[in-house]
Amino acid sequence: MLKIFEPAKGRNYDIGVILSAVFLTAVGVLMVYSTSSVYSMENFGDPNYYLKRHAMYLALGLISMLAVLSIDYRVYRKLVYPAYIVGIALLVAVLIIGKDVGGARRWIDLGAFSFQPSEIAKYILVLYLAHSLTKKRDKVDSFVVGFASHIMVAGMYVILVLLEPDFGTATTMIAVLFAMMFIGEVRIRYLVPLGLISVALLCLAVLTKGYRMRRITAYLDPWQDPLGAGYQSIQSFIAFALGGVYGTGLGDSSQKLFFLPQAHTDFIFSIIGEELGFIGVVLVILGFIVLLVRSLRVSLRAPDLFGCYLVFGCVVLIALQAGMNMAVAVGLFPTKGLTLPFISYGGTSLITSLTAVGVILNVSRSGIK
Amino acid sequence: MKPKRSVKRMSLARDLDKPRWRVFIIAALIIALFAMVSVKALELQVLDRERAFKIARKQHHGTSTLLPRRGTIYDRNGRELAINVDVKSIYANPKKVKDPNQTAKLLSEKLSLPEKKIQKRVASNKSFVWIKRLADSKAAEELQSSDIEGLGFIPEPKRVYPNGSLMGQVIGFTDVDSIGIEGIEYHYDGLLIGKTRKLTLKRDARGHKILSDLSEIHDIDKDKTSGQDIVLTIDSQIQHIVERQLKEGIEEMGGEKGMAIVMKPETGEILAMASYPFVDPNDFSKFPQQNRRNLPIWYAHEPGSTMKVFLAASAIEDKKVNPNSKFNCENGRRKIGSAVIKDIKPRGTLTVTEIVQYSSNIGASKIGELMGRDKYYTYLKKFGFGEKTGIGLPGESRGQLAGPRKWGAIELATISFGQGVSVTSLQLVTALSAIANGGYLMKPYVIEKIVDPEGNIVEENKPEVITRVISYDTSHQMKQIMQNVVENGTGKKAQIPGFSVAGKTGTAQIPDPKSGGYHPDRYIASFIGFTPVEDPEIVMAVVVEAPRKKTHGGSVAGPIFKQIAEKVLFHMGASPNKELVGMKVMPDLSGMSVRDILIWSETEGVKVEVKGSGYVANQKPEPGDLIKEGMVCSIELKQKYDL
Repeated sequence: MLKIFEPAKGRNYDIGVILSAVFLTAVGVLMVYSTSSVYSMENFGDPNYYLKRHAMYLALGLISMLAVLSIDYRVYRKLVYPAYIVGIALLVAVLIIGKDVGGARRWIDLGAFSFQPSEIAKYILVLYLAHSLTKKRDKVDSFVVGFASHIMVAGMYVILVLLEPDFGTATTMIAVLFAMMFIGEVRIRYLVPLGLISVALLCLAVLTKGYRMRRITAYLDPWQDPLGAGYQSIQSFIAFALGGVYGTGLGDSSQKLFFLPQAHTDFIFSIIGEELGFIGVVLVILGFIVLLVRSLRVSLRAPDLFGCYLVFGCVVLIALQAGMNMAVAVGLFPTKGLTLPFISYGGTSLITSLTAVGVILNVSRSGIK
Repeated sequence: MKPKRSVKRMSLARDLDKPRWRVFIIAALIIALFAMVSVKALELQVLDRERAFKIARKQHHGTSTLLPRRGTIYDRNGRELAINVDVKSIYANPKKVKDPNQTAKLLSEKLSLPEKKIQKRVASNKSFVWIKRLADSKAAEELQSSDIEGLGFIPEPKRVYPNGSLMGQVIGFTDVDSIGIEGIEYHYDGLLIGKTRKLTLKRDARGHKILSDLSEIHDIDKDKTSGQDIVLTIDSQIQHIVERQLKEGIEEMGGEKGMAIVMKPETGEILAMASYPFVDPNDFSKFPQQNRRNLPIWYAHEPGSTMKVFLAASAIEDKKVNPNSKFNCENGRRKIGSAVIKDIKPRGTLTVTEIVQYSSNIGASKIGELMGRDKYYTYLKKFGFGEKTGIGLPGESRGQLAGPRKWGAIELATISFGQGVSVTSLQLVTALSAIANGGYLMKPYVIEKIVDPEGNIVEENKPEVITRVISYDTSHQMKQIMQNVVENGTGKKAQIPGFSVAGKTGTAQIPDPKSGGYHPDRYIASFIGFTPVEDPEIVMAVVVEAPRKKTHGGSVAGPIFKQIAEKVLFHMGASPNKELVGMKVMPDLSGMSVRDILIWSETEGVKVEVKGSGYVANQKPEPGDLIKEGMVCSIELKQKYDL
């Protein structure tokens, strides 16, 4: 039975990917406990409420990881079109039956727990692009087949996500689409205009929504209005400053108590900065860099182009989202609702990240067929 | 078919050619993003923390932090100078307040606060608002016993200075947030303030802060949040004596302000440091800003004739003169360039000893010329003039001592008798200590040690020799010259029965910034000295500004020196010369502690009867009366020693 997990001859599980994923997940468990205990005590009368749920998601994530590991990754290609349809269905469903939180419908509530379709859709998009770019490789230079078809297919997802609205995830999707078409050798002269148009559209989206505009101006100078739109940024800055080089010590954050909302989800990196200091910040960043570099090595050594694109897409999705989340926390980017993969509390994010690691490991141990 | 295509197809078949450089580009972009995040984090966490801290501090001193439990300040004998007293702070949970109008009315009456302001707070939609921090204890108790719903009480540490105005300017004080803003409280705020004490507030469902559990607040571990304690070299009882005598002397002479500082010459420890008018740090806002200065270290003034001591010491050390070298004092009038120097009493030829004894300006100017400006300047620098001493208190002045290149003939002369130069009293006692202790310039200090809440010594000051200024011989000769001043010269009023005293008087005019010259009738009267001469216990400087009844340093500051020194010697248990012991004169015991009295009665063999506790308020027989054989001295003590 365990034979299905055995690496092919001359191939092996990438130890760097495993260690970095374990490290980041462990930091996540610690920080979720540290950041959420007061909040969960208040809301659920149990300081371990979020920790328990996080552990449950972690278990689900590991099961999902083993599941994707048990199948040869080349078999995934058979699932591409059904998966794409399921993605569309979920993204449409969330617009209809999704939980309305602060004017946005991003979650589907299943009673015991809820999940975020856009988190899953991102990876379906990666799977689709990896398959399609490999399949259409001969015609990738053509405008219609190599370029427009991918824009259409991915565009469906992006538009649906923007309707929720989930600006952060849409941005991530566009960035991954761009990166994958780039390595899929779609012509640069098509990609550059696409990049420019995307940026223009993003700006338009910002300008048409007042709250986004406020976030942007607050981002440009958060200190101008420290109690208004710049609130989260300022609180995050303070958390970092309080941490200093060595941090205040695990569990000793004062920012998480009152001043930094969403401390266990979107702004968990700030609390890492406060409790574990600059050293902790650098260690977490190094964790992501190790994961990125080792996974790209797996990608370049994959037995086929599909494996190469798939691993590339998965790890870019993780690393890009991590980088953007951190950039928001330190004030380089305006606020948007993105989680920090592996670390933030948030079931869907943890499960999908671990599944992605399963895919990367799968490719790393697979031989040529 | 283009060749490029065929390469692609080949690569697909053999799977060797991956988009390597394109992957590297994307990887580089993402790593660049991580690098930018790291740099920004470095800036926030290490390089530019201050800005965020300012905001953080404001926030933390808002509703969600308790006042800090500051460290205690002790004197050298462990007497408390600055302590914390738990006082109740009153808060409200407006959601639980049933009748906001009625409650606000009651609160404003009891606490004498504006009703509208209270009403606004009580009627707010928050779940935690402060009503009054560190409330009046009686009002708080009444409110607590009347059991109004929605009101709560938390004990917070209030900074209290149990000795009132005693060395108020040295200790300093804290603001409403218990942050030190003057004196030791300010300078050592980082050590004293301790850890931030968080009030455990949580968010309710709507994101409002609520107080979670009062018991948690009571349980805050004092040791974990307390600041560090500071032990001073100051003896609060000597400080009492100094302040009382200084006040008495200045009031008697109709002076405006004054200061005194007492140092232990062998170590550089400051035993007392007083600035009059006094300031009570418990209620500092009632005292004018200009009285809050720690004058002995802050106020640089022209020393006048006290400077001649250091001139003579330098000249003797430099072997230019000896105590018997003679100078023609020109019968009280000497022309230097366009200026004329005068002596108060015209004299002919004087020795160096006599020049100091009579305080001849002309004699001093000639000694200065004999040494030359460079040499004299070098010695003044070695004595520590024109430099901060580094005593470890805020607001120290360096005084003014121009470089010798800027000295003309007139400047050399005036600086020789203490004009055209300014010094602090701290510099004077530090320099004089070098004469008293055999030639060593000691670094003065006022912090003995810093102790953490667990009782470990974090930092301890030890006596530190900065440099050797003069030889033992010079020191010995200077002691005799200065003793002669008190016995036969201008300092006679500083004599103490039973003890040898060395000193020098000083009378300087006060510069008038408006005219650029001097005030015609405003003087700074000073006396510097030490006692006993053979083995000095204390070195002291007393300075009185603008006395009206008398103006001469010997008449104004001399008696204050005597009054202080006499009592301090008694307090220190110094034994007077033998011939006086037989007479047994009753000393002035006022302000002494029981311990002092008992040691005195034992060593002197005098019987005492002590009533009450605290400090001596009344005594029989009166000071100066003879103590007869078998007589019992009755001494009455009172708790609050009234200055």
